[in-house]
Amino acid sequence: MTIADDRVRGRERTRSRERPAPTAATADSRPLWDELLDADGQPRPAAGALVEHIRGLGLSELQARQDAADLDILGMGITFTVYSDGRGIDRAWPFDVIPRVIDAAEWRTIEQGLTQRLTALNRFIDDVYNDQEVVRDGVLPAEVLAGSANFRPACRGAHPAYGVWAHICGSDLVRDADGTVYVLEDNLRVPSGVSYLLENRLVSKRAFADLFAHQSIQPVDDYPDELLSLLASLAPDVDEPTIAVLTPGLHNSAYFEHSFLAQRMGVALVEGDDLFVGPDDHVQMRTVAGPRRVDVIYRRVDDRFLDPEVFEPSSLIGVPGLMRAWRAGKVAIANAPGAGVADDKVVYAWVPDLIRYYRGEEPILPNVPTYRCLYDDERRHVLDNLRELVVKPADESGGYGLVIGSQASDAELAAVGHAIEDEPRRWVAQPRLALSTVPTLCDGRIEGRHVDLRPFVLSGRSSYVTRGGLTRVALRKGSLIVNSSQGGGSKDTWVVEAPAATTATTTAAAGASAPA
Amino acid sequence: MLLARVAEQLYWAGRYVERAEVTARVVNEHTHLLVDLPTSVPLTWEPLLAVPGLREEFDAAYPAPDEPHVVNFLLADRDNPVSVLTTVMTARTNLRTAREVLPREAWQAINDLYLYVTSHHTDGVGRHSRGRFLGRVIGEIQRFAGIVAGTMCRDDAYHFLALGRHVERADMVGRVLDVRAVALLDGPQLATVEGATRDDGADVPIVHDEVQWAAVLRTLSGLEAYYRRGLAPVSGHATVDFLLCDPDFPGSIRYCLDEVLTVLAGLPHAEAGRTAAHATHRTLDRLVTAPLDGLHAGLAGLQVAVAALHEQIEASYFPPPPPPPLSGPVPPGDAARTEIEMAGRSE
Repeated sequence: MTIADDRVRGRERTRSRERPAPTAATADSRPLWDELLDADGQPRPAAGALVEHIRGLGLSELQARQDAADLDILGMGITFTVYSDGRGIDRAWPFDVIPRVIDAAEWRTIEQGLTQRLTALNRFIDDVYNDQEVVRDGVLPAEVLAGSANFRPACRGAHPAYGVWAHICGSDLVRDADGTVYVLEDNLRVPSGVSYLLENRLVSKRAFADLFAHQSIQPVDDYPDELLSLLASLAPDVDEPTIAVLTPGLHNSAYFEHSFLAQRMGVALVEGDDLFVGPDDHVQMRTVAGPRRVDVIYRRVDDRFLDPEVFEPSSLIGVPGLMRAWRAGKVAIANAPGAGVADDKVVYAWVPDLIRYYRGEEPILPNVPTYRCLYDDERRHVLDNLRELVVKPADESGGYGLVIGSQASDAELAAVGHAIEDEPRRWVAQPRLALSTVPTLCDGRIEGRHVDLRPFVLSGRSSYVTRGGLTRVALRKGSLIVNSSQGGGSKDTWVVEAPAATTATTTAAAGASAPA
Repeated sequence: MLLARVAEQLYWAGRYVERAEVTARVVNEHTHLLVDLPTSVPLTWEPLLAVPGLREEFDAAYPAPDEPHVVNFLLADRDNPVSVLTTVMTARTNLRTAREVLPREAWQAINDLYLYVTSHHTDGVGRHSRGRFLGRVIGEIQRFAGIVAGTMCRDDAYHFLALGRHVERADMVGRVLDVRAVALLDGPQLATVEGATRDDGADVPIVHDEVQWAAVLRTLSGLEAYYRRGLAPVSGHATVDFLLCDPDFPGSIRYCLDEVLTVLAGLPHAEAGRTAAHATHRTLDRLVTAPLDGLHAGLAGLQVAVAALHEQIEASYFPPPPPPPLSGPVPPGDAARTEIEMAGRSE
């Protein structure tokens, strides 16, 4: 199929292709997929050395290494912030010593899929803030865009370098019971977690030093260098650009990461008050030697708080005039303001279409099948099958507002049903997935716990994908909640070349074939 | 190019780390003194409250200035802004917001200190475990200082940490001398230990001066340096001279002021700071040449000069942030310090 064919394809055809089968199996009856062990309890090829090593260690030695890792984390001050009684408290980062292993062959496919996806998403964002051909060509309904909470009219007509808006993306991947890897969501605003990915590796290297010595586990620590060169490439025309990381401050839950990245890149970590915009539209930071011009800002502050002159007027952490400076091309901002428009759970449902539209290719990584309540037939199906589905509001993240049908009360289901009927554009629904598990050390025993995976994708002149990603694990038995603030932990993630003879063939079912 | 905000955090972290160390040493040496002095010499803990100058705060919270209470106040009291516990917590909070400019090991050292102090601070109160606790605290601070000295580039970040340490040390040496030396020097008519009386009601004269002067030197880590200068035996006059103006001992006030001047020479916009440091130097010179019975007044003057130096540094480098656009707390004059202390408490 050529690009031209794809661009004229109408909505009806798109829908029929992407509509999930009404009889999609529910998760609960199927055996779970374990990332290290196959259905017979035998190690998967890439995990062979690790499983053998852990079995050789025995439980008490493994526990000793877990305890040492916990001490390392405490001593290294690897923390995240939780909020309690209105105060932020930094807690030691929860880490499980048993790593998750991904076959390098499978990873290459995932990497291609993510690169493909992010290229399409960036072209989409650039399009919606400029010509909106995607709407004109009938690929994305105008009402989806009009109803997007993260569409920023203030960004219309902007042209960031390379046409890239989402420079840093953390996409959440999950594997279902049949082994298929799905993209669950794309975090395009201020995704966090990459520092923990890097720190987990340090801790895990100490715990399994012998394995690292004898096995080719792909390194992860070049990420900050890649990020730095990406940021430098965005600078307006200056020889030695000054780069800064913009943080909301110490009490932000990801402050550790902001500080980590600034240190690792050797750039300033600034708060809103450290910056101001001069009458010449240049952004300046207040240093001990006086104002100094800033050329690139890696912002870890949500759009809404970036600039009180344009967005939330009561924002205390923003920089008045920052948008003016950005629009004037005096400063580059990563991710670009407005990039979140593609980070919307309704837009998500169209991403496979966007990949076809902008790239003329079939998606390598599948979406989780998604019902769009915007359409009468899909909405009817959702309302008739609420009990079997997971219902999500479009404009929330971090699991807020999500309703899991099988765990909701009748009253909750009735309420969400009314909400869907009131504002169909705000809602999507997906079948409940049976997230894969990884053996995890819990209360002195090794048991499977559900995981997801957040790789990070850098986009600029070229693309970069972290080798593996941050594996988050729900430490409570049966739980699917992987957030560290809600009992979630993390694991190191090893991308390992499987022994040649037995290379696994577990790549994502729908995306295993090469792009057309 | 160091952010003004980060410079302020580093400066205060330098001050707090130094304050924690001197406070730990003051308590440690006073405890040793108990062992060194014959039991006939009564030793009270009350004078130590004058080092931080928080007598009123202490009286409001504690029933009596006895050993357990004074030591608890100085080491383990979360409500005392200058206890070892609070200063370590605050220093760590400050460095958390400056972590991106610190060597990783330096951060780990301060974090280790924080973890140790927050989990063991009550060990410092009981006499049997106090030495071990304070030894570890002092050792961890020295480890931090060693990593900073050995691995940090001599850039602005280092300069502000060093500035904080030396301003604080100059201040603390003056405070310790004021409390310990003035009581020892004030002649026979006042040669009593504050608050101590014999059974018959008469004042108890201070004896074993040399033991007490040696304790002053040890508190400020200067006993061996004092010997090396050929000043033995330990005497009051020589000790005061040594701690005020020895040009080569890193714990003398003169040395600290020289260091402040050296650091300022490497910083931009340092003219006003240098003027204030020179003025402090002149105050010190007058103090050195003045008769010893004027030591107390002279030290008070010196403290005022050090405070003026601090204010000048603050004015030159730490401008208050712009007022928030709408409502919100408008920083009062000493807001920086208050905020930092509050932030330290909020852990």
